[in-house]
Amino acid sequence: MADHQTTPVIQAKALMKTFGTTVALAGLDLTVGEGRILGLIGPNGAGKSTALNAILGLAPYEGELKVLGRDPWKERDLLMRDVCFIADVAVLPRWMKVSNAVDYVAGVHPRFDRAKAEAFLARTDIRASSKIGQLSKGMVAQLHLALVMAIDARLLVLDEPTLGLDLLYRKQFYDTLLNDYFDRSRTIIVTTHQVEEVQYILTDLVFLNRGQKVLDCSMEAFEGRFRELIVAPDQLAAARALGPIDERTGLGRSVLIFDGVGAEALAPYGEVRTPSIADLFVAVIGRNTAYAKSGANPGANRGAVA
Amino acid sequence: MSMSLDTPAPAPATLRATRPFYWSVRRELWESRSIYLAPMVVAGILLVGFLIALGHSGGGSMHWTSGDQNQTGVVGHAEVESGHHNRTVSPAFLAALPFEIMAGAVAITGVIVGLFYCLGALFNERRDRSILFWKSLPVSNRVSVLAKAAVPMLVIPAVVFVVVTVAQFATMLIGLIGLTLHSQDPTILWRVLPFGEGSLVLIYGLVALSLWYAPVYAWFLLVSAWSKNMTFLWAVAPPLVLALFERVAISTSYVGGLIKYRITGAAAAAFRPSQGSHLELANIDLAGFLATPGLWLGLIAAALMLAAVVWLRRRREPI
Repeated sequence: MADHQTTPVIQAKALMKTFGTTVALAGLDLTVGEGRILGLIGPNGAGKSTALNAILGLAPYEGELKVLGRDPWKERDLLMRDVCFIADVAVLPRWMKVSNAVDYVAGVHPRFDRAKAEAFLARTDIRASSKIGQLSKGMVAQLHLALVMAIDARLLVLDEPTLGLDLLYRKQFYDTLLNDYFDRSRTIIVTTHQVEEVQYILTDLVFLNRGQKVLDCSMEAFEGRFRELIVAPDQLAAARALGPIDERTGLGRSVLIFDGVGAEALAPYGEVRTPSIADLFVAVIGRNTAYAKSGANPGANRGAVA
Repeated sequence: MSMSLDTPAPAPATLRATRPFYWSVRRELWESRSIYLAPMVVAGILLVGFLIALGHSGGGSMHWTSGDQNQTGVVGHAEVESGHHNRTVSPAFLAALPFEIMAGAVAITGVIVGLFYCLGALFNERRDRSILFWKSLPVSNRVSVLAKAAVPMLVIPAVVFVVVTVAQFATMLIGLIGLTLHSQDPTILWRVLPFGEGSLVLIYGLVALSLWYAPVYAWFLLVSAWSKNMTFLWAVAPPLVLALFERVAISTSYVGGLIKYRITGAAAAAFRPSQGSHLELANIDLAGFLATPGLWLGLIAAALMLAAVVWLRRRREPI
């Protein structure tokens, strides 16, 4: 929770967006409080980027949306004093020199701390005289992160920030973000397909599918709510009676995922643990049609809540 | 590895309103170096041409050009103007040749560079997706677009003026050396060259050209903001096709006339016809220029198109 009472950083109500006949956002409600790190997870075309574009004032939308108390579409340039975003690794202009990029951001951004950016860059192999086009993808990501981290912003939006980076850069990216940037007065939203890599930095999790929210819970709640049970074949029928939301088999054993079934109830049938976000994602999105209809708390109408 | 970025004073907590504009213009110059390189290169080539011409007319003691009979049109023009075809350096030749040719050629280069700059100004940032980076910073679309419009309308004319002035000084130096080498009185240059006057005429001409071409630049920016490919074709083909259609369908040529007027009408609108070989202050027709409806209609069209460019930049996504 936030240290002090504030209005939510992001408040969206019935956010809608259609492209022709394609519905990108079908009435999304979203509230993000200060100091949270929200993972916005969904399959391709789920509406993640559309939602982020609306939040960043890059595209018009229908419905209500306030970011830091502002209407992003009408006040993008003011909003961007307090909001940073990294769209993906490829958006820094290739023709620009590293020193130009630092100069430019220092020139236009009132909250940019040049010394801080240079200190970050000094820890990398990036040279000020290099053209961005000559840097590796990983270095461009480092540069962008250095620029963004030197801005004293309240909201950071990351849209697939590590796409195409190798494992080391990806890990370093999130480590740096968490250790050198994040504090309780900042808020981060991240979308990524590499769910397992952000699992341990998130405080909140939202699954999107077909423009709708299919899961919205904090990570604390996540651990209390979802269980994964590894069952031997002879116990399977009994375990199934408890109403798993998903079942998969591997190496001769079945893995069942439960929503809202207590660990004590499951323990007699096998090994109980917390599922990974990735496994839950497959469970939830894979069965999305049934799941989405029952809203964000599907356990309720499955009669399986402990 | 350590960084050695040149560090000016840290950014103040609040920025002056003009700072985003200033840095947006600088960013355009970083991206499109041809804005200042092309006028410099053209001026440099002309200077070399003048040197060669001087050597040519100066005769045997200067060997830069021996054997090179295929001179540029510059020399032919000079010879016609000066009426000299011998081995002395004529002051008239020196006076008539470099100033106006230099100014004209560099100004035309500026217009061409400005038009090509405009075609890329909003297209390239969408194509390389860097628009997402620009839009992540607190710079409004209006400031970004005005900075881009300022490049052909303010920056390039200023570059042209500086380049032409420097080149004219260099030309004069060449002339001085030439005259001295040929034991002629170099002070004659002061009498025949309209230095201060020429600069004023140049400034007036550049401002007039900028205002006259404003709708053309704005149209090219509009195409750049809108088109998804082949910007040049989209900029040029529709007006031409429209003119052709009009000609074929109703046998009139209003569109064609309008295009021709816009492209070639600047000089006639801004200057009185010149009697002599070059334009003087007396040729400036400011009142006439300001009374030209085409000027104001063009500026209104330019403003409307720039508003459309701002509207488009707000909505267009990376290609």
